[in-house]
Amino acid sequence: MKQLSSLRLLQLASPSLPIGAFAYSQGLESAVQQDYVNNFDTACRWVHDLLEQALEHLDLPIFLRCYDAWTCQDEERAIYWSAYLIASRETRELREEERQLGQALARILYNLDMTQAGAWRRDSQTSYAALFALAAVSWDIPQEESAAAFLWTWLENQVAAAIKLVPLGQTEGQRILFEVSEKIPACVERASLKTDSAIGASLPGFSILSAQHEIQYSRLFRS
Amino acid sequence: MIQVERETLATSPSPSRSWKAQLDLGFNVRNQKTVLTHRKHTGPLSTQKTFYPEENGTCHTYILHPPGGLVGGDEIAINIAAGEDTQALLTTPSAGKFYRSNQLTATQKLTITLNKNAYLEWLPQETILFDKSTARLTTDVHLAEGAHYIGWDILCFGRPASSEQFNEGHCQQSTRIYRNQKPLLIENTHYAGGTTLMRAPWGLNNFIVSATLQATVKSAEVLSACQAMTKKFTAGQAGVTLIEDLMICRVMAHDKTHVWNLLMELWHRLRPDTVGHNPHLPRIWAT
Repeated sequence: MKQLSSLRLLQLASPSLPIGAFAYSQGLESAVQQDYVNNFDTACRWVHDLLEQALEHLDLPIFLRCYDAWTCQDEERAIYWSAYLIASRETRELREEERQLGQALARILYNLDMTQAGAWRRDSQTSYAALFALAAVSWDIPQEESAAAFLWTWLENQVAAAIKLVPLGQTEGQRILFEVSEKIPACVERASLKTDSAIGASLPGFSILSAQHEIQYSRLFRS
Repeated sequence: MIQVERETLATSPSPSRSWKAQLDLGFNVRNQKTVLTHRKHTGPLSTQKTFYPEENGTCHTYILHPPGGLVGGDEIAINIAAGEDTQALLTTPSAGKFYRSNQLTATQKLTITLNKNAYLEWLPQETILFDKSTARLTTDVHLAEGAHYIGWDILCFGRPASSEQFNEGHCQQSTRIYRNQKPLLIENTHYAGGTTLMRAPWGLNNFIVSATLQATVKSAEVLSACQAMTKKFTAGQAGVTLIEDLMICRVMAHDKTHVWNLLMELWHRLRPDTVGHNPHLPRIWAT
C-alpha cells in the first residue's frame, strides 16, 4: 500500500503529466532577455532565490492549507485558499498559468475517477496548488513528501526552461536540480510554521519582468 | 519644528509616547454634488475644507497629518466610505514619513469602501521610509458593483539627499482589493534593508523608489496605451498588467520625480476612461 502511494506521487510529479507546465517560464524568459540571467551561476541563483523568497511564503503555505482542508473534507476551505492564491498572482500571465494548470489537473483527476475534481475543471478560482493537494490526499501521499514534490515539479520546470533559454547544458541543468533541491526540506519545514497573516511575498522586480513578458516581442514561452 | 521633536522622540522606545490617530470620512451625494457628510477624527489626523475645482461635482479632499511623520508605536487609521454615485479625489499635501524607531512598529491602516457606482481616486504623495524605521502599511479597498477606483502608493527607501540608505529599515506593505467581497488582488511585500530583496533583479534591483498604481478600467484599449508608456520608461523599470478589469502598474527607479512623472502620464490616460473626466491636478501638488 505504501509502495502504491509512492508510485502515485511519481505519477503526479512527473513532467509527462499532461497539464502543460512546460509551456511557462514565469518571468525567467524576460530575465534572460534582459540579461539578468545569462549563465549557470545566475540561473542557479534565480531559481534558488525564487524558491526561498516566493514559493516558500506563498505557494507552499497555501498548498499545506489545501492539503489540511482536503484531509478534513472541508472543500469550502480549499476553495477559499485556492481563490487566495489566484488573487495573489501578480500578473495576468501568472494568474492564467496557475488556473490553467489547475484546471488541466482537475480534468485528469476526474478522468481517473476522482469525482470531487469535477467541479474544479472550469472554475476560475481553480489553482494548481489546490488540485495537487487533492490528488495527494486522495492517494494517501504523506503531507511532507507531497509538499516537497510540489516544489520539485516547479523546480524541474524552471530548470527545463533555463536549459532552453540561457541556454545551459543538460549536465548544468542536473547540477541546478541537485543543488537547489537540497534546500527543499528546510523550505517545507519553515513554510509549515507560517501563520495565515504572514502568507504572501510579492517581489517587485519579478512582477515587472512578468508584466514585460506579456508584451515581449518574440517568445518561446507562453504568456 | 514639530518634525525635529518627532525625530528626537524616535529615540525613545516608550510606547506611552506614541500617538494613535484615526480619521473616518464619509462621502454622499447632495444636490448632484459629492459632499463630505461624515467626518470624525481622534488624534492628529484631519482634513482641510473640501474643494470643487471641477465642474462635475468631484469632491477634492486633502488629508493632513500635522506631526509630519510616524515613529515606532504610532498607529494611524484612515477609513473612507464613498456612498452610491459619489465622485471623490483624495490626496495629501506632503510626503508621509516613517522615522527611525527602536524596534516598535509604526502602523498605517487605510480602508476604502466604495459603494455602487462610486468613483474614488486615492493619490497620496510619496511615503519616505527612514533608515531603521519599522513600518506596517495596509491598504484594503472594497469595491461594490459598478464602483471605480484609481489609487497609488509610492515608497522611497532611505533619504538619498542625506546619503542615508535603508540598510536596517523594515517595511511590510499589504494591499488587498476586493470586488463584491471576493479578493481581486492580494499583495504582501516585505522590504527589509540589507537583504537580497533590495538588490536582486526579482526584488528592488538596487532601486530605491517602488510604486504601484491600481485602476479599474472600462476598455482594454487603455492597457496598450499604458503598456507603451511603461515600455519607453528608461529611468528605471516598469510594467503593466490587466487582471479582469483591474489594471496594475508597477514601477521602480532611483528618483522619485521620474516615478511621479510616469504615474502622472498614466493617470492622464486612465482618468477619462475610469472616472469619465479629464485630469484636473489638485492645486496642492503645485505648491
